Amino acid sequence: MSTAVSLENVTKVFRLEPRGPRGLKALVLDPRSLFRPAPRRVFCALDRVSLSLARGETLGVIGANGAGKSTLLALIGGILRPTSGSVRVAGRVAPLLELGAGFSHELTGRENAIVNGLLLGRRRRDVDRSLDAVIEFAGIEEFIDEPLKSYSSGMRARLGFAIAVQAHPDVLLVDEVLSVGDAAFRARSLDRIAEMSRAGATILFVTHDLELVSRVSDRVAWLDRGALAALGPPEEVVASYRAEARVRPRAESALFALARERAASAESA
Amino acid sequence: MSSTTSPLPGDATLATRLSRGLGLLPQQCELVAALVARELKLRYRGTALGIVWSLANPLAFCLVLYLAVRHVMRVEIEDYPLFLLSALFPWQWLSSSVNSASTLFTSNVSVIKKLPLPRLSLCLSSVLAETIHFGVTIPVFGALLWIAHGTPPPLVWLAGVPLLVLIQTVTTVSLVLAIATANVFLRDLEQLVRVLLLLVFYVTPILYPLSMVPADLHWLVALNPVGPLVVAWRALLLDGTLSPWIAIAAVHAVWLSAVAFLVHHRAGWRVPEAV
Repeated sequence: MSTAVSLENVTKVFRLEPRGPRGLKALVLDPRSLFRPAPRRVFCALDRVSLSLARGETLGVIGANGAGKSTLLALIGGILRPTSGSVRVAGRVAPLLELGAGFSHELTGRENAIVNGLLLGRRRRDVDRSLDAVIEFAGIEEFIDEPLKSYSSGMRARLGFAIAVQAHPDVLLVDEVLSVGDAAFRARSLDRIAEMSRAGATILFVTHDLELVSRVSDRVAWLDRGALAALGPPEEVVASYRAEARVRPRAESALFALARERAASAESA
Repeated sequence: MSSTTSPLPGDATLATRLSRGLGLLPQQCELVAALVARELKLRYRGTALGIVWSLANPLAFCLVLYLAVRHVMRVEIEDYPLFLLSALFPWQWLSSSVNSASTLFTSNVSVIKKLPLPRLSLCLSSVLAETIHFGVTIPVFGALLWIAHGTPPPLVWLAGVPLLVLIQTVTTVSLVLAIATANVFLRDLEQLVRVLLLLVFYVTPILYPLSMVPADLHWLVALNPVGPLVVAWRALLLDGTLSPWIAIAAVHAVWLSAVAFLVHHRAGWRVPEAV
């Protein structure tokens, strides 16, 4: 089995903006600041992560907000450069980090589909050839020559997803984008991802849907504050993630409490 | 630290990286062509006159300057409107490219943060869209010259125009790439560039001929990256001569592209994080 994606000891440190006046203002207020570097504030988004994916493998990535999931995909997608360690990818990558990234609202769906296909590294003739399939998959035949500003957000998302999957990438990166669109489109997207996987595409997807991740992935990676907490069979990793997540305060618990309160007061009335 | 897109297995040597880069070239050309088409479509969508508007700005500017310099300040320069336009058209190309450079990356955040877009393509397409606007002005200038002088544009244009277009494209793309990258880290640049452009406009022989500049100050015109270009354009368009200033313009293009490459190389990869 050939390796499609391999990360070796990948660390990504972001520099945060220094506090206080910056730029020319800082120079005028304190000319010596030019020679005295500002105290550097950094944030370590990924900490010595190593993993390797075989061609055709599907990896689900789970973890709390800010755990480094999106940074991981951006590194594999070639958008960010690792601070240390190495990232290797065999073949063409289609990063689907945000549906409709790079769309112009004034242009039509068709014009956007062409520019976006090229942005994903495809040749013009391939883009033109697959245009009908994109339109068909997105289900927006009658709107394709309308400007994008007249699209609903669901339509825009469908078009963005259709362009990425019709690009036939070797590696598809999907970041939390399947939560948009209606149930039918979501089901069709998952079918399509499974089909691509069978055809040999390597897929990494980030999600908070633990049901989905157990059902679709070959392996699951759990990121915890930048470190790889677990990597292995979906059931095991999801189970240990669930056990860990339960002891931490949950963001939605306040909302549940409110709902319970409301239900109780409705009953008593 | 290795390249993100190197194929498995093994490390990429310079030769394989170069050959891979050349392999990407046709695709990058198609991308740039599509981005230029998008830029032009976006600008003129819904306008009745379309690309004709690219003539309106320099022509209106020319009229104002003509009235001010010729009739208010009473400076005697032969053929003043044509004299002005021969420098204003190329100046317009450079200044509008450089003016939009500061916000080129900061206003395309979604593309830069979410797609592995070669930032050079973005700069190139922005400048090439302006180059097309400039291309429209050349036949217009030729026609005006024909009407005024009764002779068609000289054949030397066929060599001179492509040569100067090439030099100015390299100069402008280099300035745009360096400014767009630097502005991500130092946002003051946007305001600074606007002021500097205004300054450069007046120290460049656009409103006045090079002959009005004292000979011992010609080095100042030569040092300004835009000066030799404008002098060369005017010599070509107005007098039909290939001026020696073309060589100085080419030297500026070379060192500016080296600076732009350095800025891009050192700071470019941090743009998606910092923008």
